[in-house]
Amino acid sequence: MVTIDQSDNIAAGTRRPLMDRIAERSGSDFLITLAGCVLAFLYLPIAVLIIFSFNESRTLTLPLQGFTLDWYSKMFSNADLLAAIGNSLYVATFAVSLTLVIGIPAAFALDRLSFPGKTVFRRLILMPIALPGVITGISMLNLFRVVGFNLSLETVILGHATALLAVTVTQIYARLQRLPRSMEEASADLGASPIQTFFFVTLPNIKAAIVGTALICFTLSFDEIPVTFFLTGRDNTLPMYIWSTLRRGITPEINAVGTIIILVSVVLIVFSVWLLHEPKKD
Amino acid sequence: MKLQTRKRIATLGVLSPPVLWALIFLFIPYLIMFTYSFYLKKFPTFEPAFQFGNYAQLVTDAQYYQVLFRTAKISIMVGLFSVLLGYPFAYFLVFKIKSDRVRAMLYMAVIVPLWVSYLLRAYTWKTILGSEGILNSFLVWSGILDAPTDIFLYNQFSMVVTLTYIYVPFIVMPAYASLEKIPRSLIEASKDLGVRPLRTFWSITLPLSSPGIAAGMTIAFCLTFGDFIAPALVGGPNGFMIANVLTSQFGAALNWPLGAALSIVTLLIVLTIISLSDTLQRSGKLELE
Amino acid sequence: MGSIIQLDRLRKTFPGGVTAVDDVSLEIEEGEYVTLLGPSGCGKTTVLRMVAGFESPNNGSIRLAGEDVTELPPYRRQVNMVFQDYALFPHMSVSQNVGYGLRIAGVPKSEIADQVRKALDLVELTSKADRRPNELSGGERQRVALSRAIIRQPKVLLLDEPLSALDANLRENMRVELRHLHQRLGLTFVMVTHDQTEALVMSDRVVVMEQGRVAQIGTPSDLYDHPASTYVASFIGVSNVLTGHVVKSHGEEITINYGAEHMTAVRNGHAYSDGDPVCMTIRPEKASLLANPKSAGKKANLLKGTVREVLFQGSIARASIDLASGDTFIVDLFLPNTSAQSDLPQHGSAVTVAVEPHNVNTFAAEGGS
Repeated sequence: MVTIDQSDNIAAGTRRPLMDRIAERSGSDFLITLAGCVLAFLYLPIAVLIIFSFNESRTLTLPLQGFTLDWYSKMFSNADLLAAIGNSLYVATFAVSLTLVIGIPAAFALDRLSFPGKTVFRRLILMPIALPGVITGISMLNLFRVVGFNLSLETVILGHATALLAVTVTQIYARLQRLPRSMEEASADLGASPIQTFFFVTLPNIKAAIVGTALICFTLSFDEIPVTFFLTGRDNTLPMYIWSTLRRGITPEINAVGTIIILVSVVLIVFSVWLLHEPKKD
Repeated sequence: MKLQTRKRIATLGVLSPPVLWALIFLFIPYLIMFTYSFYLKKFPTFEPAFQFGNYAQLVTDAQYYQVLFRTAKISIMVGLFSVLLGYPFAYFLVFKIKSDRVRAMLYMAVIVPLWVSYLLRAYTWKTILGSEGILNSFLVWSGILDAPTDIFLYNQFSMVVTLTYIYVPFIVMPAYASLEKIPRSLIEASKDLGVRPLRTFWSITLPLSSPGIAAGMTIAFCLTFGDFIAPALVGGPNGFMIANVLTSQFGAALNWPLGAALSIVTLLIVLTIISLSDTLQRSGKLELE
Repeated sequence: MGSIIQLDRLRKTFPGGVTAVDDVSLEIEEGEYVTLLGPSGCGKTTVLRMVAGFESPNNGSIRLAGEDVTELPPYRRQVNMVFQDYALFPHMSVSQNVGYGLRIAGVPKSEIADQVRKALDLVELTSKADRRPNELSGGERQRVALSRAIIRQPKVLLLDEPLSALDANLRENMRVELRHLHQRLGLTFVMVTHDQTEALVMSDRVVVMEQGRVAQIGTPSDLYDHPASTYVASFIGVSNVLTGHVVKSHGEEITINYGAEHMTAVRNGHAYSDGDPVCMTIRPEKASLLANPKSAGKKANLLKGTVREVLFQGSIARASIDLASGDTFIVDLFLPNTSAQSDLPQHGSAVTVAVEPHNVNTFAAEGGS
């Protein structure tokens, strides 16, 4: 009796962990498969985009027809497209500069200063991150109509800068929060005026975050449609140009543009990751 | 000069540019929009008035409230599917990957697509799902289908696929952050007490990471709710969403007051969702402490 | 010489209504090592930060070497601070950190290099001059922070919990090193700490703070031997606190009614009237246990009790005695090398506690209880 009981116990004791182990194993297998699918899901379209930029056929269908660089040469001889790229560079450059000039003091104010209406100010400035871009675009369009501004690339710049402000403020604010206040106090304690402290101590320490933010904002501006849609005049930015050709029909030329954009984006990411990691070792 | 005065002047110097900017480019535009929503349409423009006709039209005209419902439905579906894909992925990264480097690389791999043009990624789905597209030509070539089908594109299915594709990384990021914060000792303690892995997941891991899920779902929901590109590119006639209606009111339909009212309603819905999710996340955080 | 710092009726109330510092007046002599001691939230750090200029007081004034600096920003004050987290600039090397104050002051480069070398020499860090702060150990960072703060030869060096981030061993070494540095430099040091041992070991004078107010100022031995309140008595070391009433004053001595007993204490500058409620504090090592009451000195106060427990602690044994009055009294027994542990009093045995009158410190009981 006693021995049977014991063997029963031992059997029960080993059986349960075994079942658990099987469950855990199959759980892991399931997770690995799923993670693979997610990655495939994320990268398949990007692969498709790139592959078909080198495909001879005019239509984007399988099977592949043969290798060509025609779409790239077409792209580089397309004056409208090149003008659009130029416009986008112009808009992105100035929108990023403006958003930094306004956003960095705003992040500072939110982190360091106390003033009446701070909560309202924070909510207002962060609004565009949550609101549909269309609404930001339309409301600014209303403003420009009321004051009688003509729509142009410059109004687009104002629109982008406003929409990107939310991103800039969030990023810089997060960095400032991690910056010990005592560092700036130490600088003041050692005789530095607030302006000296900003340039000698604060700025060098948030530099990486600023460059990172600038890169993010640049890509966002370079890809922006909803705000641009309402605020642009006769000139097209690159995404607006692509948008309008898409409505006319699909051509692999777009894939060529896309491949170039992806290439530039990847270079920017690698650059920003390198920037954000290089100066700090801890 | 007194220390207090000096501080006040410095404060003013730092503060006034952003505050002025926020006033001119955010507050006043929203205010104008709000005012317009009470105006009367009068072809080809509108005239000042104070009446609730535009709001009434949104509630009574099936064309508008159906779009609102459809937008909400699609946003919820996108949120759900993004979580179903993104959360297990984050879980996999945090708990199943042993090497820090591999984990960082896989995490980056999910984030990188965010940097790639949103427009182009949406466009690619159009080329994949179209009746002459890659999926169809593959299915015909492999003999599964006799002739290309048009069931993949220009409907709500294609929109949900495209938008889910775009918002999965937005779920992975907060889910990863909240899963990483869970002390391993809690999970080990649960296992130590003989609780099965699945029970441990349901009773410990999932509740503790729910703030991350909520944050991610809110982002996916709100961004989908105002999305303008996917419906125009891959949505068909029954795929019109709020942003498209807004565009036409301020464009071809030239009904600015109605568009303004719809904007205000959208704004309120999005802000409500955000504050709801905020309170939810805050209460979730309290549980952790 | 004269006083280098004069704080006059300082008050600081933070937005939200918390009064961190409440009517603090203090004079610090040139060359002194003064420590502000108290638990967290007692206002000691706020006082230090007001001296540095990071907080401005709502009321009162701060004088530095005779000059009113109350309204001066931190960068116009000739004081320097060692921060609790050291606040080293992570993007600068050790020598750049140390030379920062001189660079701001516009000192020529060659002279900066010279002085930095000397300052690093002083803290024995010359070999680490080109390292970044994150490549240093905690103790090294602390020394960098120190040399950065003294390179401008401030009138006063402020130290905010300078040792709290170090591990226990290093902390003890640094106590001595800081004390030596103070002697070598001849600067005035004002330190903030919550660690009473640190305060007693390092300072010339200690300011004990309680809820934004100064509870007592005195030399370490003053505070130890003659605490002026139960708060100070319990914050610094261990004390037995007994309460009673003054029965009679006669010259330097007073007689106090405690429970059923009469005790004698030394007045020590206090003026009492008969019937005043009074607190007595007695340090555990200043009392002794007698097996035979007759062997006590003639004047000794004798209190009867029973041994509750005795805890062996190495060089001493700490005995808890239940007194007849119901209070518990702690006595430290010294264990010279001859005595065996078996000689210690046993649980439950009746004993007599003896305390000489000059070891009974008194002050007026708070709240009249």
